Amino acid sequence: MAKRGNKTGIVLILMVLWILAGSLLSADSSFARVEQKMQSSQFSDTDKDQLMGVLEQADQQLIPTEVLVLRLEEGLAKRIPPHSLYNALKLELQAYDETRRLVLDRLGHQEGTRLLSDSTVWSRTATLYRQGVPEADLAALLDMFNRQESQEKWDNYRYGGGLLIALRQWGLDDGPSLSVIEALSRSPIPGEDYRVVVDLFTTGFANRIAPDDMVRRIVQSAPRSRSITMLERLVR
Amino acid sequence: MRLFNKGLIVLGIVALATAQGIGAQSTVYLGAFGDYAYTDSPTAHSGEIGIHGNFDYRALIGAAGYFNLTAFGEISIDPTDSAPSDYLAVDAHSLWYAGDNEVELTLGSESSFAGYDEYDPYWAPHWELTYRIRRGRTAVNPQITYSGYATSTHVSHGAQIGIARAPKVELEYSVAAGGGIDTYADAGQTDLFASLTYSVNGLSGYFLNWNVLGSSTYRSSDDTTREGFSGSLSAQATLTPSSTLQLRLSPTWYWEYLTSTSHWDQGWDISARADVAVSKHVYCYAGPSVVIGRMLDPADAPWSIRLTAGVDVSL
Repeated sequence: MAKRGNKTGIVLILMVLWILAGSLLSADSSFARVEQKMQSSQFSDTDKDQLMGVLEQADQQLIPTEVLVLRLEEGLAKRIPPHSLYNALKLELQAYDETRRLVLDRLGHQEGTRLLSDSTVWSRTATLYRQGVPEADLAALLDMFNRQESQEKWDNYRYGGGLLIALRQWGLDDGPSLSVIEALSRSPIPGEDYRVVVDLFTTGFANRIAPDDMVRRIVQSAPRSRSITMLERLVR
Repeated sequence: MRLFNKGLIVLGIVALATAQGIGAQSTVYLGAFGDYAYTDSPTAHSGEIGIHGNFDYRALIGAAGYFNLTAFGEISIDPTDSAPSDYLAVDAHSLWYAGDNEVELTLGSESSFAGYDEYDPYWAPHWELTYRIRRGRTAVNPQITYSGYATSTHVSHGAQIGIARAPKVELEYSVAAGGGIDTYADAGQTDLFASLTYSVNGLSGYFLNWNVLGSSTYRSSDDTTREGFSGSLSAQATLTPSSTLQLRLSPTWYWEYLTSTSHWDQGWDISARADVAVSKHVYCYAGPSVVIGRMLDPADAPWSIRLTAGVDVSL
C-alpha cells in the first residue's frame, strides 16, 4: 500500500514537473518569437526592453502570457507606436492581476485556483474587467456560476461573461443584462447555447417585444427551461 | 349576439388575468402603414393605407408543454379607388413533450370579409400535427408531419417525414420529403404531389442571423397549367446591431416547369427593410421590394416595385 502511495506521488511530481517545464519552454519559445519579430521593427532598444519587460513581469507573476504575446504580435503587425503598445500591455497585465485578486477574494483559495488554472476562463474574466464591467457585477457573475452544481460551471461562466458583454453592446442596461445571465445560470442550459439568447432579443425586436419585456420573460422562463430550444419557444 | 360579445369580453379578461397569474406571456402591437406600388406591363399605380394589429399569448401547460395563440388582423383601403380589403389570421398552437418525444398541434385559419390581395371574401382553415423525437441538438432528430388546409373549392392533405440537426449552436439544418393530395371540388379534379424541402439556419457573431429555405415539388394533375415541377429558393439575412435598429434582406428565386407544355419559367422577389425603434414601444419601418416574373419570356417579363412604410406601437 505504501509502495503504491509512493509511486502515485512520484507520478504526480513528474507530471507537475512536466507541465512546468512545458509551460516554461512554451513561454520561452513565444518570447523568443516576439523578440525576433521586434528585431525587424523600427523600435529602439529601450522600447524593446520595456515591452519584453512587461512579458517577463507577467511570467514572474504567474500570469498567462499567451494573450500578452498575441497582443504584442498584433501591435507589431499593425505598426502601433511602442508607447501605446506598452500602455496596452500594462493595462492587460493589470486586468489579469486585478481579476486574480477578485477571483481569490470571492471564491476562496481552492475554487479560485481552480478557475485561474484555466487560462481561457481567466482571460474572459480579464476581458470583462477591461471592457468596463464593474467589479460588483464581476463578483455577482462569479457567485452565480459558483452556485451551479455542474462540472462545467466555469465554462458556463465563460460563455455567460461573453453574453453579458454582447447584451450590453447591443444596448441592454447593466441591471437587466445581469438578470438575464443570472436566470441562465439557474437553468440547465449549457453555456455554449447562451449565444442564442441574443437572437431572442433580435427576434423579439421583429415581433415588437420590448427589450425590458424580453428580459422579464427570460428571467421567468429560463430556470424552468431544460434546453435553449424550450426557452426560445416560451419567450418569443 | 350581445350575450356572445359579453362572453368574449369576460373570456378576454379571464385570459389576461390568468396570463398574469400563471406567468404567461402576451404581446400586443398595433400599427398603421402605407405603401405604393408601380407595376410594369400593363402599367399600373396602386397604393394602400391601413392599420393592423397583432396579439400573441403563450403559457406553459404544467411541466409538459406550452400553448400559444396568435391573431393578426389588417384593414386597408386603396386610395386610388377606395376599395377596402381586410385579412385575419388566427393560430392556436400547442406542444406537449415527454422525455425525448414531442407532439405539436396547430389549428388556425386565414380569412377576409371584404376580400384581400385580389381574392374574394374567403375563409381558409389549416391544421398540422407533428411528432418529433429530440435526442439533443447535435443528434439527428427525426419528425413526421401531417398537415392540410381547405378553401371553399379546394382541400389539401399532405404528410412529410424529415430530420433536423444542429452540429453546433450557430448552425442548424433540416430536410424533409413528403407528398399529398389536392382535391378541387369545383373542377372535379384531384392532384397528387411529392415534395422535398430543406433549410439551413445560422448565426454569424451575435447580431446577424440568416437562413436559406428551398423546396421542390412535382405535381400530377389533369390541369396542364398545374402539372409539372416547381420550386423556390429563398434566403433571409437579418442584422440587428443594436436595440434600436434592424436591417433585413430577403431574396427569393422561384421556378416552374410545366411538363405537358414543356414551359419553363422563373422569377425573383427581392425585398429589403429597415426597422428603427424610436422608443421602447414605438417602431418605424420602411423598405422596397422588387418582383420580376416570367423572366424566360423575353416578350413579357413584368416587374413591379413596392415601397412600404409604417409605424407600430407595442402595448
